[in-house]
Amino acid sequence: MNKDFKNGMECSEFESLLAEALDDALAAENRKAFDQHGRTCPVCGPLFAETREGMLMIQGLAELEPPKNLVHNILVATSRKLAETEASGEVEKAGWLERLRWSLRPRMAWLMHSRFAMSFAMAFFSLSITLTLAGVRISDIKNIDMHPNALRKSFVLGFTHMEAKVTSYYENMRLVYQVQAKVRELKKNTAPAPGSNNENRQQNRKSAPEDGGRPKQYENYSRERDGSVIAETFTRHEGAQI
Amino acid sequence: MRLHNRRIYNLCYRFTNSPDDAQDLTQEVFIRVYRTMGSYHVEKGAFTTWLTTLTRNLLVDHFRRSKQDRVTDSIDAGLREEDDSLSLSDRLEDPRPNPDDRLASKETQKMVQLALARISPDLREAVILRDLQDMDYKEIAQVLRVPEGTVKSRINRGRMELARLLSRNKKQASNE
Repeated sequence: MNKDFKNGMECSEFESLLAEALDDALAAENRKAFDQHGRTCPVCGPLFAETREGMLMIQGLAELEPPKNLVHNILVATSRKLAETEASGEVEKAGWLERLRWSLRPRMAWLMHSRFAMSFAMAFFSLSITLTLAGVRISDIKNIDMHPNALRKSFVLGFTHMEAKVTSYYENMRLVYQVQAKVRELKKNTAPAPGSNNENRQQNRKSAPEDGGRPKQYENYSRERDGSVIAETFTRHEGAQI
Repeated sequence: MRLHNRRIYNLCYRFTNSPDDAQDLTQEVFIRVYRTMGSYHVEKGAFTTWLTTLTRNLLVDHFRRSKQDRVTDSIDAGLREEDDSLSLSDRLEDPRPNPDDRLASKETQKMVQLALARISPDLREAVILRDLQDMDYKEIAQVLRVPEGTVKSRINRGRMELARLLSRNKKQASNE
């Protein structure tokens, strides 16, 4: 910008008034000097025209219609953020137990589903019935001494009892097996010769009826008054040899 | 929200020259508004000015992040896309009141938008706030945190640059 003084106005002054001139906000006397300078100055005249053209071009830009889903997206995004902010605020105020509960909340959310809730309710119901039938009372559990030493003692005692039971069971089983083995051995030693045993079996078979172990047994379901049979069935007991 | 939604979207779109970015930024503006609503005090100024300042800060952040990768696409590229349509001189000067006029107006708007995206961000934001958002110099000075004189100077320079860019492209298009 040159420092020429034309028509009562310097070029720098012209430039500083440019914005107001384009807004039509210049005072009357300034406007006159401004216009005169613009008409005669070879730099400021085109400058004014160029700036005006640029202004008109930009002002000619139409206002755009935002996408239809924008408001919805904003509402969704802001409500989510708001919920997160509120949640974090509540968590900050709460104690460690509450914070733990908050941190577990998303992971345990599936448990709150009606299907799982119903299953848990049924399981609890079954458990309570089983405990009642077994004679376990909640008050008994309350009376348990929770001191570490007492717990250790009861654990050791329980373990010893269990060990004794297992040992005794094992010993009994061993005795039973020993007795069985002894009996088998005695039977083996006192058994007759194999040939005589076969003959006895053949004799038994001959004495038995031809069609099985037992004779035919007739069952009368209906009889006339004179004793004659109208219908009858029979059962066959096959292979019932004792 | 519905009241300011359109204004913020337009501001973002004119600055970024991208509908997607404008949408994302508008959402981000409102999320920030909800988050920092407590920091707004009436005595500090109008809500619109506060909202515009917030938007402008986000736009500056966005500009720094993206470094104008997309925006610096040549205006000529934009013109070449429309080679088979009206010439630039037709687009700018055609006064015919027929259906083509609407198309020409649309093309002109596209060209002006592309030219706007090419001028420097400092000038662009000042011009947008003045000529599109219709804010006064005092408010713009408050938003941009610069003196009013600087605001006026930036607006003038922005308008000039835009006119020059359009004029240069007009000449190029008529030579082709």
